[in-house]
Amino acid sequence: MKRHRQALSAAVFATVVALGASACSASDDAVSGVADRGGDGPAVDGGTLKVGLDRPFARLDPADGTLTQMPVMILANALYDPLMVNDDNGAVKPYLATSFTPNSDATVWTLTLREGVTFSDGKPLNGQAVVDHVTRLARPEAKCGCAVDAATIGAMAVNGPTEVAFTLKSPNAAFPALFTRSLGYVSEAPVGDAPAIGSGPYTVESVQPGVSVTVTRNPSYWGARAHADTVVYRVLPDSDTRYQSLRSGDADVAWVETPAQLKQAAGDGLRTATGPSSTSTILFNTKVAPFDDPRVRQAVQYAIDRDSVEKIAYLGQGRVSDGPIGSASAYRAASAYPARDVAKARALLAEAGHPDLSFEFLSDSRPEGRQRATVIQQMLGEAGIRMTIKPLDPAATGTALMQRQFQVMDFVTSMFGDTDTALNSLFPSDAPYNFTGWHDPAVDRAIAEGRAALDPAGRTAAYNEASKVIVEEAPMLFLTENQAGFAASAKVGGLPDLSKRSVVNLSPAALWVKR
Amino acid sequence: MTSPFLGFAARAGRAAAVLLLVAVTALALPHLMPGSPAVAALGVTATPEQITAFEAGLGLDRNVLAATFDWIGAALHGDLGHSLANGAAVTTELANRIPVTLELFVAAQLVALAVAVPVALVSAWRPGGVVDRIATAGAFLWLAVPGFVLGLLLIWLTAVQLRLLPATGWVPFTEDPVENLRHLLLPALTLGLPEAAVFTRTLRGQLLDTLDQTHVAAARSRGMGAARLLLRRALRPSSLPLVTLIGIGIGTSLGGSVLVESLFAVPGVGTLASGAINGRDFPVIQAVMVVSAVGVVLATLAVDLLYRTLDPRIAHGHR
Repeated sequence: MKRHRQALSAAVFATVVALGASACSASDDAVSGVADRGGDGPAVDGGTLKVGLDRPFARLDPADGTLTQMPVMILANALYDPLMVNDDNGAVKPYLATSFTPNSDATVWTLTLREGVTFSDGKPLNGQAVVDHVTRLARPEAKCGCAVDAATIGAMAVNGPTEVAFTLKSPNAAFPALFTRSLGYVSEAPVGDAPAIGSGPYTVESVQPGVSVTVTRNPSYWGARAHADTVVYRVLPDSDTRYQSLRSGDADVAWVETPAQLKQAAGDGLRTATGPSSTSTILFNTKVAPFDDPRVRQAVQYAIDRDSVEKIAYLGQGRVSDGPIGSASAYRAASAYPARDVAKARALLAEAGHPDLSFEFLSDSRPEGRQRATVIQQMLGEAGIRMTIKPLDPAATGTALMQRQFQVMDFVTSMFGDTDTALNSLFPSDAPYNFTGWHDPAVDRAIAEGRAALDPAGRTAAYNEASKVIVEEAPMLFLTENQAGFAASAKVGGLPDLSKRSVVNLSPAALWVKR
Repeated sequence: MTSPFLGFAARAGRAAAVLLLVAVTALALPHLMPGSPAVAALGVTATPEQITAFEAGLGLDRNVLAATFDWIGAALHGDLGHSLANGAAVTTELANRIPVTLELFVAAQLVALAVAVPVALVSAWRPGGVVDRIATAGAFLWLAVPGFVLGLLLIWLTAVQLRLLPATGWVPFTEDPVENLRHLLLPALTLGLPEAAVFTRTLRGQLLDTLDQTHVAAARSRGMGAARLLLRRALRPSSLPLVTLIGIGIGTSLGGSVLVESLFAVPGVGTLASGAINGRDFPVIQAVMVVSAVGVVLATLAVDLLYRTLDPRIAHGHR
């Protein structure tokens, strides 16, 4: 499943954002997390860092959603600085910004920028540059998935060189979190096929779209000097090859999410920096029978043992998911998720008039997706449910989702890394990505209350109320939270601890290569 | 016997028909394949307005035949459209990648021939001997091993364990010839070794037939040495099927190179095609399809001509 843009993070409480401004730079912990430098020895400057990317990038422009997906943000962070960054436990911190403060009802947000920041071509990165960037990405021709987020902005006003006021169409207490990805990676508009110019610690030396890009240190960077002179990114789409490239020394750092590789990395002399960055779920099309009946959905829910899915499909690398509020979310509260009960599943099906339920399950075509589907198929079989697996490639998956051409569908997403975005995007009746077609007035109301609540306790209560109904009504089943992130060879220093991050984000400027 | 001109015209007509059929199929792809190209390119977070604009830009509302003829007209002027993913000219993308895939193809054929010819010669000279039995078993083993398994084994052995060769990547020949060859070797072996198995079996069979023929027996009875007999009298007439296999390989190697290029991160037509298919980048998919078809058609014509050179009896209609 293609990863989703925003995994903002839940704890973007306005007060925290306002107070959280502190001096930071590309190589400190803001983007990269707190580096576990104890065993790395002193940082080494110079040399070349070789990074393996798991997917091709089309354009070097924050408008290209690929660039701000978690596995590729290590490239985005070389060229651009985000206004805001995701921190541990769902918090969002200012980065290029110094503060982002709301008015009393979270309808007007004031962004204050660092002073003296320039793009790599010397032009100032000021309030007007931010407004120009957001305006450009909001246009259809930019083809940015972030246009949905930009559309929530009613007006922007530049109040001096370092201040921008955003007036929203409706209250959003988590608004700053929208600036951790494309909207926040401020750039100049690209000219022709040239990369969009940013203010990051590196600038582009050469690029072959979809194949490789080489960046060199930005001599006029506003922040701390990056360690490596040069970073070479190569697209290594095959996960086995990418892993072997780490072992052979052809790559120093690479994205890893295959459970078997994460498990064997330490034994192969590799280090990892991973976080609970994706959630495996199941979507029901609640607009058509039989899944318009909550009892049928609940029967499937009762028939699945999430622990077994986690152990078999993820080799114990992750943990079970208890609902739409992730384990690393600041809104997390104790929640009840139904344990497996095959007898109850059968009883619910009989009550709903579907004792011999059968359906087609659209699954991820990758090996782990097939394995997950097979495990679920066997469990459902024990409850008398016949499930046929149909693997889909990513492009067909997107269409099936958007056009609701499915009965039941595998859905692995990073959206739940950001509780605000996930709840607001997936569940309200007018949500842009309400793939299941399910809605509930009480959930609509609770999510809207949470979105408008600047008070952390109020928002936590509202979101947990919504979560409780979602789990009970089961338009979507929650299976596991999965580990993913970066693996690095032993000669790489500065690798951070990302274990408390639901958005895995790494800056190449923080890393060095031992000689 | 038909006149050479008529024969050429018939072949050219058939080739044009094949290319037209491929072009129509390629242009009909966006309508036939599951999955919206707009959703694939823009992601599931795309707004309905973005999807509508994108699909209009792709011409999905137009007649397929009209779109095909427009496309062919533009293609004849060197314009294969622009990538949906990055807006780059497809002609430029292909021009950058075709030399890489061609180099890989040639290297794979050289690997296959370097293994197959000596092994087949020795096997055919002593059928049932030690070399023949090992070659037969080995050929079946190579044919049974999937390409990606062979590739991963080679990476594990030569790059991870022995650290002799790079596991992935590519250096252009013009930039550094030695590094180019080092990066070329593993993908060439992965593509070439299974072909070597096919070549060996085919050539061995042909050699056995040839060695049974009267003129070879006569040469042998006159005391001609084994090496001279095999190389001068038997190899040339027996190599005709290899020419066919190499010709066909130009087409099939594209399929293989999608896998092998992705495995070794070689920036050729294969990785371009696989990225385009995953991203539903139809202008690129269409161009790769048609250009590949042109390659196959040209290769078939070249094989035809080579046949006539290698065996003049074909040119004179005796075979």
